[in-house]
Amino acid sequence: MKKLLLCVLAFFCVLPYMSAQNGGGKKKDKKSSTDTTQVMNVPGDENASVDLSEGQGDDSESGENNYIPGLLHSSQDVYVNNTSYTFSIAYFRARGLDNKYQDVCLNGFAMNSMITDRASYSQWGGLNHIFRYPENIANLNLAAFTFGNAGGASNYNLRASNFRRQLRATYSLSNRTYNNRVIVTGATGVMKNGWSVAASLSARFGHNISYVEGTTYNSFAGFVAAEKQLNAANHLNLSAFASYTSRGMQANAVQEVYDLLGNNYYNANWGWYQGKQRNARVRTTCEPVILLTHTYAPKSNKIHIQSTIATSFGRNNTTALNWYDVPDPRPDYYRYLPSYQVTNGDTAGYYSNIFNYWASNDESYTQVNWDKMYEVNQLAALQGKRGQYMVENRIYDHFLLGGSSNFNATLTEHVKLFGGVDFRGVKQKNYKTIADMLGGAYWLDVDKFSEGDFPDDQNVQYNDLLHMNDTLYQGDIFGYNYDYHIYTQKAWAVAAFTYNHVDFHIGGEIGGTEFWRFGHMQNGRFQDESYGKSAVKGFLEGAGKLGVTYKINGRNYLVLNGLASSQAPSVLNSFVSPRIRNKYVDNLKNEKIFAGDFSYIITYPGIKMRLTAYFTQIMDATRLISFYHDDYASMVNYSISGIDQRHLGAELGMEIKLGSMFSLILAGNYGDYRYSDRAEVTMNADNGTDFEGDVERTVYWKNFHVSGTPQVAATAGLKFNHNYWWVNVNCNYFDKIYCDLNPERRTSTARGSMDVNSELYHQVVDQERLKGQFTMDVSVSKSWRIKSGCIIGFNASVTNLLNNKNLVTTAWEQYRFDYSSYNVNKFANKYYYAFGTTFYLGLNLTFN
Amino acid sequence: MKIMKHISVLSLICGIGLFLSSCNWEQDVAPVPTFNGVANMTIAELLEYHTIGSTNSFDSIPAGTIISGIVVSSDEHGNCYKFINIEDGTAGIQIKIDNSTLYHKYPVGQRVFVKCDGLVLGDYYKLPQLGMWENGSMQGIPSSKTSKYIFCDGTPINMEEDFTPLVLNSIPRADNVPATYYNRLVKLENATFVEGGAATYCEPNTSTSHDIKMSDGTTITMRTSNYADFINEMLPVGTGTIYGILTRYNNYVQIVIRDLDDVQGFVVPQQTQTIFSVNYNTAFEDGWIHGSNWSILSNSSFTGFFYNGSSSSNGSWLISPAINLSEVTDPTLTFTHRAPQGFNSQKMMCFYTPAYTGDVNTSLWIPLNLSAAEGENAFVNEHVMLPEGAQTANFRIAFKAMGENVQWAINNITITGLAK
Repeated sequence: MKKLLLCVLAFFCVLPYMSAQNGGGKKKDKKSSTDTTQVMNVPGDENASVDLSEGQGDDSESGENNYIPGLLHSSQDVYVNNTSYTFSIAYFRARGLDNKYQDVCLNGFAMNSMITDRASYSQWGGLNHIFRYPENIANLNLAAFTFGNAGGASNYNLRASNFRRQLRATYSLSNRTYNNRVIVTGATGVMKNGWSVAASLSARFGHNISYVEGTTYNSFAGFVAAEKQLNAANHLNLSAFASYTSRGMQANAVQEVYDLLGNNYYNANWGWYQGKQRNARVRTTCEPVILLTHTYAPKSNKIHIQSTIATSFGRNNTTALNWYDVPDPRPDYYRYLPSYQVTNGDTAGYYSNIFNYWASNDESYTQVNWDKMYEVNQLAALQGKRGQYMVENRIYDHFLLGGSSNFNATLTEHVKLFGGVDFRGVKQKNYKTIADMLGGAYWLDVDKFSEGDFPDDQNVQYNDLLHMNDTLYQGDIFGYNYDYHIYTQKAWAVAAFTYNHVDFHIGGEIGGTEFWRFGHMQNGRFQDESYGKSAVKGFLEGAGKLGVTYKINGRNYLVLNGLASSQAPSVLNSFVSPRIRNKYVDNLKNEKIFAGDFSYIITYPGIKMRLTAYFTQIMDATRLISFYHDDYASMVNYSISGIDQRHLGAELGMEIKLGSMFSLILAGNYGDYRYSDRAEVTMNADNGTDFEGDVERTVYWKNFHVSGTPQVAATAGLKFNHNYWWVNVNCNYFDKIYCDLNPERRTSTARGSMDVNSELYHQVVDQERLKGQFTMDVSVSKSWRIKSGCIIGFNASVTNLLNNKNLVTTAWEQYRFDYSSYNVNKFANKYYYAFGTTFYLGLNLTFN
Repeated sequence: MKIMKHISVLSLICGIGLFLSSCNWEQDVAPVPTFNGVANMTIAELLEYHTIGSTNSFDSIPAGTIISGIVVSSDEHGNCYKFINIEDGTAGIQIKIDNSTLYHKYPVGQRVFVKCDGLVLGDYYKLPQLGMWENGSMQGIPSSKTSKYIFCDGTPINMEEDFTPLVLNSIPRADNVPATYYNRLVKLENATFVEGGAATYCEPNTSTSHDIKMSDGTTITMRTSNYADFINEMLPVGTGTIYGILTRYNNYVQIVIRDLDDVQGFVVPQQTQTIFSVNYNTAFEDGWIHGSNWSILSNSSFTGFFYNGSSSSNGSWLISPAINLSEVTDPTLTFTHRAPQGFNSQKMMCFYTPAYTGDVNTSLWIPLNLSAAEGENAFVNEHVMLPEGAQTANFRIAFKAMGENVQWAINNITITGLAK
């Protein structure tokens, strides 16, 4: 078995280096959008992709020595196209990869946050008319607008000239994240004077019908673009957009709570206040983007250069409860659950009281009790004492300025060159302010975890020695206040070669990242390393990619792709305690990725198929988590480095025409995503010098599963298309859904001397696997031309028709671990469940 | 050819898929923690740094001291609270830890190393302890700091096979117990709960003491917390073996058991019953068969059977009524006798029969050896274990005497045994 393993691994490892290749870029990836930017089945949106024949290649399968066309960039990938929406209900991630491995570009300018590495779709949430047709490059294929990453790349063309002359209005009704949505978009197309103008407005509301209570939703978005054709080859475009979204967040909870309430969508975040549901966790984002784009596109078509200067700025704010020296106000805090009482002996009466609160869903107990917090604060205020509860804002303000320039040039009949440069800088301010005093008199900025620990050193408890005894009120900054500064520079180039039977490409990227932290507070626990500028860290980055397509004939292709990349660690994971200290994690290293895939693609008119085996090895990834550590009785920062992951798997997408109206869809992914080695942990406490140095640990999680996605997903569907009627029916299956691991439970310390065969050992160490689940989706759409230039259409979809409420989308072990009794159920796993049946109804009116 | 190509590509990809699904990836296992270092002081040596009786003060420990030992206490069943006891063969010590559930982290049999820097020695009513000195008193090591001081090493040993507890058969006065004995796991053999069968281990609301009597009559106090989960169990009767941590409270020597498994092998010594005795005033009416030389003598100093030999006496029998010995084990015959002219085993004999036929001549008589010395003329107490063959429902004993100048006085005839 081992030999076989080695052979296959060797095969995979060699793949990226041996091969050369071409633009397999046939795949058109549809963003697996979740959350705020659910892209719906708008007619002409994804349904339009049903007809895939594209007429690529001639019908002849012979022509051994003749030129055979390559796989077209514009064609839609039969796997991605048939899975991206149907799999999104289970939070499926292609190949198990985090979103951060996918580049999302606007006019060629990458929008991935420099802090999180992930593109924030909420920046353009609601602007679905504008953000409709990205150019998607799946996985490792060649992209013309960016070097790309292991998870592929997509680019939205936001130039005004890209939108044809049209006035379009959409009204949508849904019970998903929002209830009502209106979008109105107008565009002039290219006018005679060379100008193009486009604008879009959107509003989304959600108050009434929802699976999760307390998750009200308000969003307004606007987009405007103007472009001037300067001359035959030069275009200048200015695009600007913003989306303001405010929504009540859902909280995850332990199964005990869901079972007690008989509701897998229980939300602990809200409570009644003055007759209304008030959510303690409200996320408000407004991060506008402005892009100034110059395009050089001479008629010859031999060269195309697009340069963009962009800025993005704004605020991402999430409120949260804060409290001092009073009981935890979160209703599902573990001590408020019946199970906590059971385990504590002679409290039977107490247990039954608490059980009854939950069983009868007494909302003064099972939801946030705002009145009680006001009462406590007001009583304290009457005695001249500080407030004890409040709502805080956790704010991230960013300002980004950058520019990119990308070109593609046809050098010869056989050779094309792609390349670009990118420079950018961002400053993100991270701080907390008081959002609502909840009737309290004033607030003091002291750390509740530190206060008792250092009776001899009063300074230790203060978060900011520079403002030690300030009394704080609504709007005041407290807790932490620091900036991240990040600068990156990149240049890339890919050469693509096209020959009769072989296309291949080879390219590279080189760049650098520098970052530092600037503290605005002098923290009492770390007086010497919290205020001011930290050391600057710099990282050299690089990547290479190769691809080869062997064109057996115009119907059969073999595609081999490979990518190797070394990227700077995220700034988020680079400081041991970023909120309060300038100290870096030791041995910061670049994260490395090696990825390869091998596909067999057939494109007959009656059958299209892609079958791919893929491999991704991630090395030296990092993560920083914070949690309450029972063994140290302190909040700790847990910096995990050397995270190695190996993602292996196979994808199949197949579409078979059954007559002129029906198509059969078969698509699926079988993945195996595991930690491929042990990781190292450095732990330190936020509450000061308690540890007398950092504690180091090894996480023994090799061969445990990487979570965050079902590793198995499959769909079988039937498509109907006749006379502008589109009907899709899909049956989906998801499996190998794993619970995210608490690394601490896989350390020697946690294991102690437990016998590996003991039941307790398995309770502590084994990884939970959730049950596989079926879902079913149906969608219908139809459009009519009312009169010349006026089209009316509707589309309706029902997701999870069978109302399966047992599909866990996210599961994780709480990081808090009961070191005393080793009772894993004391801080049990937490879950999010996919919604049961949801619907979407959209009406479109288009005037051309 | 083309088809072959398709098939080979498909089979390669499918093969990879099959391989993936068939792989048996072994789950990583975190090793048991080990301590990288050695102990540089025995616990007995450590104890010498402390003067017993200093409840309100502490003694410091030389810098860099590391001790090691096997955990012998357990709070799993609630009878130990916020401490562990370790011993290393030379002595034991109690380590105070401010955490109420320690048995997962420090199970019985676990070897631990203790870095003593920052810890101090003290005692609680003369019981030595290791802990931290804070605010003028001995405190447990905060649970958040235990990992700085206490290090587990390897898996717990098998206490039954690889650990020999100190055995105590007698309990001296507290000050006479060697200081190195305290805080260790001890084994009390042949111990008896004074209130065995009459009291529970502990009162519901208060810690309780129960005396344990050793076979030599010395006693030790068993101290049990009312938080133990076995407090409602009855103390066993009889004698057996008790394991526990040897402690003291001032001048009381105490033992603290960890759970009920520490109380082993308690057996009730079966009550010896008197199966047969004789009322000498009515003996001959009660079924004793006797020859003419046998009579009942009763005076101020003796009441019993008396044989007085005569010239014609060539063997006179005294036969008991039938005695049922079938329902007893270990029947024992005891009696007292005296031959004023000196004992002569040829002329004074004791027999039993498993089945009396009604005729002395046809019954099977099995002789019993008497311990009286030849010529002995003082009272002799006989103690005869009756053999297994005697345990019948129709058992009888008999005395036979002969000779002219022979006198034989017998009394206190008793048969005892244990009920089956």
